[in-house]
Amino acid sequence: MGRASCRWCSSYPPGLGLGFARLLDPELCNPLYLLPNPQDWSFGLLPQEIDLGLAAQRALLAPGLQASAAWGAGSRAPHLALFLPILPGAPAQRLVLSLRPVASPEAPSGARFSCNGRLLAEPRWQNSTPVELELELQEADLQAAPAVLLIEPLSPATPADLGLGQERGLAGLGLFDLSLTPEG
Amino acid sequence: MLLPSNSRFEQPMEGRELSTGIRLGRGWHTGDPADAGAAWTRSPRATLQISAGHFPEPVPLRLTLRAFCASPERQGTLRLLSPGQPVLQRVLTSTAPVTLLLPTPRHAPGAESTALTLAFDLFGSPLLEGTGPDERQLGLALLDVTPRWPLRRRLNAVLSRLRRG
Repeated sequence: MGRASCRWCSSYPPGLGLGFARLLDPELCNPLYLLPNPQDWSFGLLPQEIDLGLAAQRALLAPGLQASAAWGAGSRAPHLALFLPILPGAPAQRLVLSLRPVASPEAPSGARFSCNGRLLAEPRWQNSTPVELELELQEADLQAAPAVLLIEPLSPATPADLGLGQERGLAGLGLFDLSLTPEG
Repeated sequence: MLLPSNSRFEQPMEGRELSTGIRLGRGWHTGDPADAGAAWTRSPRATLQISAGHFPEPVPLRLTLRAFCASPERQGTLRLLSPGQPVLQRVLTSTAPVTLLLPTPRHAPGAESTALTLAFDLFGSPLLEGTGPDERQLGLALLDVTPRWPLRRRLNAVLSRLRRG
């Protein structure tokens, strides 16, 4: 920045102005450069809803997960990673996750939920009734891009292992959908 | 700079249109041929998206619903939340269809649609209950949804049909 000195500005009183600006590298200087499909990422100022039963939305946020109508999206991996489509600097959010546990009274289960390294919750389940989990994401959780929700099921059992169905492609839990709502 | 315009997720989930201006929202199973047109909830809270364009003011809405597995020993509490309206609550003690009447939501200024929420946390699986091979957990079936349009609007619709005829 410097004092502007051009023929259009000469009639203005001296002061500080923006004389010239240039992006040195429009790709690498861009915080969205590393994100897949950055046009789908949000400033986090409006509510968002994501259906993990839809292949296109799942491919963007949870690549590698498979889905079934009965159980939602999941995998047999020890960790599930969900990208949250929120840009760095977004305000705190309320995350509501709808899921179906792979659990029974004889084989209870649970999972650890963390966002960018901070543990959010560690619920336990005794049956496979669908549940809604409400998690609070602080502003500090959303400063790194992309924000990642990490889910670690505490049991490797599949629905078929527990006699809950035929499904053998996921363990611990299946995810149906999620919503993000800015706080305040 | 690459800046997002509006994220594709900044829209409410919208599924099948049940009636003009009323769509399934979040929390429903995608249709299965065995459902015979009924929509079953898959989450403890499911929504209907009510279009502000079609329902700018609240009109009475008649909902016909059925629980998958309610009984006197295993009761389920249903709560219907339509923004701007009192909460409607019913205890379901059987799997017989029930018809409930409640007003459509009052929309916030500028809203394109508003969610009407059905909260019901009693689920059952046909497979686990030994009634069929379906391994989904089913909560509440929405069998019918019918808005009661204002009298003037219904008369206008009848008149325009008569004129066309």
